[in-house]
Amino acid sequence: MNITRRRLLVLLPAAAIAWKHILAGTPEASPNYKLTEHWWGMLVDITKCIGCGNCVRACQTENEVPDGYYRTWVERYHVEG
Amino acid sequence: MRLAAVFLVGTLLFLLARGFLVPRSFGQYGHYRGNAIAEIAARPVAFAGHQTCETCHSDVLELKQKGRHARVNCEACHGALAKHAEDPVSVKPAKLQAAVLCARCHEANIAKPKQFPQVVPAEHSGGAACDMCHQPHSPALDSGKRK
Repeated sequence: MNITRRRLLVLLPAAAIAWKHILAGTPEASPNYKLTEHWWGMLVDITKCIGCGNCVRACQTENEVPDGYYRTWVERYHVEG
Repeated sequence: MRLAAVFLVGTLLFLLARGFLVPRSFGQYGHYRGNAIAEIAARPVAFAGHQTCETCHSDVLELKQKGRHARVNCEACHGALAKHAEDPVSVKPAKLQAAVLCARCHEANIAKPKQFPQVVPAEHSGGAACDMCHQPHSPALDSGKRK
């Protein structure tokens, strides 16, 4: 494909339109929010866990996850030795 | 040259499609839809929280505070009951099955912390329901035998 003047005349405006759409798809800026200032974490003391499974059940209930679609569970393993 | 042009057009098409498919608020605060926060916050809650329960059931609170279940949340056993808290007259909580609920925490398992009270239900009570002897809100035997 040789880029002729004619082809360039078609390609450039098309590229410009495409570029505009790309810019429109980028998220709005949130001026007062800095991503690097918000590091979230969660600590779980597993030595206190009694394995009742209420954390799993509560998450499922509060988020209205239908039966059969839940993929978060807590398993217990006993390692000998 | 031709390859470069094909590559460029392909990249542009990909970015274009991406612009259409990725929601507008994605990446606003992090790697997720910024709008999702408001959407999730607007959903009704399922759990009322023990403070809400205690405003009416102060008698249970008093009993519970004396026993070892003092720091067990109401809804840990009774289930999510925000609907009952909103409309206590018409929405009544379901009857609880002590055998299922007690075993949920107290069934013996070698992986559980040693100091946590655990029983093998069949050996411990020989099939009798837990709440024949224990009062679930204050489970020590001397503290609350069922009347």
